[in-house]
Amino acid sequence: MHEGPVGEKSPREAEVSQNEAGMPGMSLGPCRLEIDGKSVEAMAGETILEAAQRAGIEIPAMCFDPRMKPTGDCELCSVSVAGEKDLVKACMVVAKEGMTVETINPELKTLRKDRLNTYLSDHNAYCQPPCTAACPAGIDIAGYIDLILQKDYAGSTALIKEMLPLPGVLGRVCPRPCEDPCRRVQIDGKPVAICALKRFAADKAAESGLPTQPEPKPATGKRVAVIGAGPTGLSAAYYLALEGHKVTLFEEQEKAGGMLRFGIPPYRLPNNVLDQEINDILSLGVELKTNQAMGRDYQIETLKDDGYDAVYLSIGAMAAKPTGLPGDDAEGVMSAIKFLADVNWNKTVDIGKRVIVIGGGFTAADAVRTARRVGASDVTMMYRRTRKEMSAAAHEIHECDVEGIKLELLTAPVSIKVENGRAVGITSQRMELGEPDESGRRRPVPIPGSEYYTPADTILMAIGQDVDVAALKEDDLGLHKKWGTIEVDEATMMTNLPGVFSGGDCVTGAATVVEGVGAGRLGAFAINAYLNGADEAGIAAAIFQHKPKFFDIGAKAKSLAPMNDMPVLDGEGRLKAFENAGHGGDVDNDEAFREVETGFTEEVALEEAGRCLMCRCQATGVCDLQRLSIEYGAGTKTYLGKEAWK
Amino acid sequence: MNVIEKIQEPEDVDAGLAPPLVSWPFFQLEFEKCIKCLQCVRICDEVQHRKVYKVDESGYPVLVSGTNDFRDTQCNNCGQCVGVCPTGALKDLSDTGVLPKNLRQKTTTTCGYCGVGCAIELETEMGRVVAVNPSSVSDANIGNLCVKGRFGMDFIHHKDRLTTPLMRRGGKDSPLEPATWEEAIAFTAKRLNEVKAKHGAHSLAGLTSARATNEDNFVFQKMIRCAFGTNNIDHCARLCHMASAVALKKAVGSSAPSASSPDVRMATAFIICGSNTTVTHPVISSQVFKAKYESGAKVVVIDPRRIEMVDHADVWLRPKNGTNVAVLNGIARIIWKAGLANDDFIAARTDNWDTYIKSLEKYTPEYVEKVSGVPADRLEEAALYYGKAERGMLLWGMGITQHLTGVDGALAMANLSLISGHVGKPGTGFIPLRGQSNVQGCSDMQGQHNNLPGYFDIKDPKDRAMFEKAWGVPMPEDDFLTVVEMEEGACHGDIKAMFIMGENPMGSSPDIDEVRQGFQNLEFFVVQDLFLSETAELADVVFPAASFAEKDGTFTNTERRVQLVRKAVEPPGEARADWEIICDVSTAMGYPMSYNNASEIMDEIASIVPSYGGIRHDRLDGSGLQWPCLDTDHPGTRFLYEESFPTDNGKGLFHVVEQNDVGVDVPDDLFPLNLNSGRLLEHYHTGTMSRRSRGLHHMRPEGEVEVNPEDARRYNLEDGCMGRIVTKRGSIEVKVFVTDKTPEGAIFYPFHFAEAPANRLISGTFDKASQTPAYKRTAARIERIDA
Repeated sequence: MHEGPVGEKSPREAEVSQNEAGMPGMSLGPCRLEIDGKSVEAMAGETILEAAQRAGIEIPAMCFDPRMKPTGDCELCSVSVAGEKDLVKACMVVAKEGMTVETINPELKTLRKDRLNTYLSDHNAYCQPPCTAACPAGIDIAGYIDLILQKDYAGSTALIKEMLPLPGVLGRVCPRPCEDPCRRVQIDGKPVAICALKRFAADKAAESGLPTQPEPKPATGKRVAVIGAGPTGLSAAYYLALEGHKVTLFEEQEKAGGMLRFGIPPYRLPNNVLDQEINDILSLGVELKTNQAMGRDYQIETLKDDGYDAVYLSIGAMAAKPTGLPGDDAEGVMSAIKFLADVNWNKTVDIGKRVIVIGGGFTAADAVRTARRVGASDVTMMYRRTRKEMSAAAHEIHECDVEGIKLELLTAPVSIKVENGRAVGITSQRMELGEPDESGRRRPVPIPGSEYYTPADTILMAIGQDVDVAALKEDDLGLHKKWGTIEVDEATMMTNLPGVFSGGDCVTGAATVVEGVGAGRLGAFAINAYLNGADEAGIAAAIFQHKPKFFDIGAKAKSLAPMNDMPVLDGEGRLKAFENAGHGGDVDNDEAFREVETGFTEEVALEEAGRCLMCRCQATGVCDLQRLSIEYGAGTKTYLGKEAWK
Repeated sequence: MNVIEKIQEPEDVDAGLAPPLVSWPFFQLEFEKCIKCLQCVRICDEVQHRKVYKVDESGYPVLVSGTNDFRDTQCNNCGQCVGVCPTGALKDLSDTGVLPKNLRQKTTTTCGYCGVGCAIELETEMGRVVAVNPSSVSDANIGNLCVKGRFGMDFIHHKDRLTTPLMRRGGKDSPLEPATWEEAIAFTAKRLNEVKAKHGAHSLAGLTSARATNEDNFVFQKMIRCAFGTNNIDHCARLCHMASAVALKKAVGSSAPSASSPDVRMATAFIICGSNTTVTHPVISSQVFKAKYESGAKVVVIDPRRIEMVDHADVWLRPKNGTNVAVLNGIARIIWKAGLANDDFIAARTDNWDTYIKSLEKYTPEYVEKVSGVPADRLEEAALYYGKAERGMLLWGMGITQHLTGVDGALAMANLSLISGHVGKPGTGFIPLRGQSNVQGCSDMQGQHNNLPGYFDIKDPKDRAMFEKAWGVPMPEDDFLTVVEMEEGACHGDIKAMFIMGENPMGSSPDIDEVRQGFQNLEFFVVQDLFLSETAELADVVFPAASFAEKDGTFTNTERRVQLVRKAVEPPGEARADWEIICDVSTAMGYPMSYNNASEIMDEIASIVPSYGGIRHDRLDGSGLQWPCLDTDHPGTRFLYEESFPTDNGKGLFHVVEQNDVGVDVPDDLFPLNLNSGRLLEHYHTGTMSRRSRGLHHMRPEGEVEVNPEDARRYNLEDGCMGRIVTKRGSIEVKVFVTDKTPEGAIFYPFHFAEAPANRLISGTFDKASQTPAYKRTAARIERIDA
């Protein structure tokens, strides 16, 4: 026979009734009380806190656990009971029939905020790092810095590569949006040199030869075409390959790299660093097809017929914006991006001695500094606002100064003077700053009658780039576009064509390298979800990025070391090299193009890593102190980051 | 050069910036985040009762040792302090997650280690388990966890996991090679049917698994009975608690533990006999502490080893190995003589009292002292604690069962429960503590001696008919072979093919050299496991199975609590849930089985097994349901026998048991020591899972033999030296740990370590009534090995 049935009793009831017998002084049997106007039943012997918890009413508490005797130490569970003069601790007081309890009022709010502030005065740490939230690629920055401190450079690089496959490249050229909101600024006014540390880890890892890439997952048999082997396309290819998909990269130029190769000069990003990291990506089994022009060598609309299950368009924004200036079609006027490409592809260029570059961004800075390296001795950067508004990084502008480049600020071109079909100079107009525009920068306003003329041999325009829409054969393809960029569903990164995804500059307009790399990774995840049969919601979930809610305390630092500057080649030596500069043609071996920033030594890197406050905590999101401090407005809230990440 | 040191300015160092307290590789306390709430100090003290933390003058928690290493204290890495920390000050170093904890996926499930059945929450990210949290949804653990449950789950993603079926295509000498599921299933079915055709159904046998779900076990035994056509099925309960099961069936009509965790928390006196509770069932031990330290319960520990529980005992009885029955009879006699026998209960609820008390006459305290070495006054003290208690509770483990007279020991415990009437009321009863996550359920599904699921009698035509009707094939009507008999059968050629699911007899069975011989003799041998275990290495076909984190189902814990096991991640590679594989094999053999999900299997179980009649997956959220649960309105049963016992006349039966431990393997001049084998806190069973956990392995990388200081001196051994343990069966070489935990004349060695397996030493002698091997009783000697 089976096991016989036996008597039953509700476990809770039996245990409680036992408790009751064993603990004198408690009220007998269940009772009803009112908490915040809600009628609540309390079991025999239950405290106000337990009764409230069972009724789904939260009374905050930091030291209550049903397994331990209540102490009331945290005082957060203080509540007001009708008829009681003083506040009572809900964890200590047994519920009684007819009690009226108020769990929140201004007095309690103040009390709890004060208690939390007392806790926070001992709590010398942060919940979440603003750097990671500010990073378009979402790198676990504190994580890789921690690994640097442990001298695990390959591990550090591997962690970076979980979010970004080009750590050596980004360690050199990233505009480092992560450093602005760094909380170290609160300690000594300077952020942790996050970007330089990334470069240090990547260089050390490359030097060691230790593996930094995981094994790809087993082959899925799915094929993906990635159009454009720039930072976005390379990143997409890397993460798609890791997911086990077979990736083919179609590149129009003879080498992969996109803007990284022809837009960024080798004195900032040596080609061997770029080549190495591209090779690492290709080593995952990614096929690279170069000299492949869309429309000429393959048709996007037939890729699916060729066996590709999905397509990722990452064609960048490489067409120079039209200037609209009279005379801009004359000989001696060219786009800065074309000039940089010519130099970087080892074409010889002759730009004369006097060069004017119009613009204040990265490309302008690259163009003036490159111009110095191909023989121009009188180089001027002309920008319509002030240094403060320049989008080129401050250290780049500083290097321009070191390299003897003149900055003409608050001035805008009006027309180019052309003689015999060739530009001979530029007429400009002085500006002053007016009201801020939508970008937050103050709008330059022309000063009437301030026009002046500057002679020049070459004028380079660095006023921005557009997506090369012509390449897309818009009408044949039926690809929707918006404001000159490819239109995608922001939640899924999919274009209007099924299975065709897009991201990077060609969707957002010209942006930073790190944004492009981030878009590549997300695109890979979107495509992976799509290939695994996810619907729109599933794809959106695969690439959803949580924005943390910050909360600030004001911590102390273990290390008092000031920020370490990136060491650079000395200015004298550089200027000497420029005197002997040729016209390009072999940038990899040209002394004038030697990498300017030389990287941290190990000792410096470890000191710099030690400056990190490690503002990341495992308990983020489940921490009672964090949750209650936000709820009650405790903490110093002196967060210096940008609103955008709040 | 350490840069941190260089830049540390002394005036900036305060307690909030002090270096962390570390329990590598499990957790650390970072003072920066500490808010001095002292929850960690309190849970360690009030729940775990360990001397680990104290509070320094500025109010911070520090270690009693004054050092920064938890190893210098009594810390056993349970991580309760980590769970209770309201900030991130106590950091889980085993957490491999990237996302903030609140953004990870969470799956509440039941721990796959011991039989306590703790509710846990698996945190997953990108298809991987990255952290484990305790869950307070279940009354089984009320939010508590031990080191294995909290930090030992990384075996799930260990690189050794089997990801594809393996088979030997060219016979016994060919290598195990990857195969497709189609090929491996077809081959297995063909070979099993061939052996069956050639040698008959009873030449086939199967071992099912106390670590697999009820659903897996039910389907497995159904395959053995319906597709194989034999009752040759057993599982490792045979090796642990079958002696308890047999005894309790005789005494009270059911093998089940009568009480539950809430009852443990309520009891006012405990007799803990042969259970190293803080090690083998840590979360149950914390509930004993709750009863003791919050309500003043008295604790009697009976154990030859100075186990941790001894430190919490009101009285410790240290009998010589193998004298349990004398001690327990002695206790019964004192209770009776002191007038503490519960006469009303005995009259109304029991039989055979008069015969029984007559048999107790000779167990005077003086006699017991002579036989067992337990001082008479201590025995009396222990008896009175239990006899006078308002609510008495018995807990026992392998120290009762793994003897030549294991059933007698368990019967003596049952007698104690009946004499005092400490059963059938809240806070009373007895729990033979189950060792594995689903030993209870595995027994419920497959039965014990001669039983069908739900303990129906295989020899009763009525019972058989019911199953024949349900399953559409005739039920074999003969007994099955037990684990050890199967292994012997394989040696002798009676058993020709075996199918082992989730078991590793090459680590767990006695006399493993003979076991190996048997498995090698088999014409066909299938093993289904997470890893290529020592047993799987001998198989012709190996099926890769999903772990408990990768499938749905239920475990039945040591309180008869049926709790949900929920899928948190996908199995690695092509691994599949055990029941899915079994269904395919059975179908290919000609007995089709198919279920859409594990829940459907439970529906079938409920339709056949009355005590599971009301169990449905959708009823099991929270604390689960404790059987008997007769229908879908039934709330489950926390404690058994409130009204009657499930015996023929409803009464409990006193059994006369005599101290009679005359084994074949008693110490002599050549083998002067008693070898006792058992478990360690950090490892589980044969270590296939726990030894693949980084942290657990770090704590216990190798087995050590415990030797009493007197014996160490006698045999020229010192702490840390290498020794050779020799028995009549074989020898192993292990490190020596000199300690007074083990009494003079006895050595203790854990059985978790395949490279130096205890069970190479253990003889295949066993208790006659239950066939539970006498793992606690092997004559041995120990010799020093000079390096």
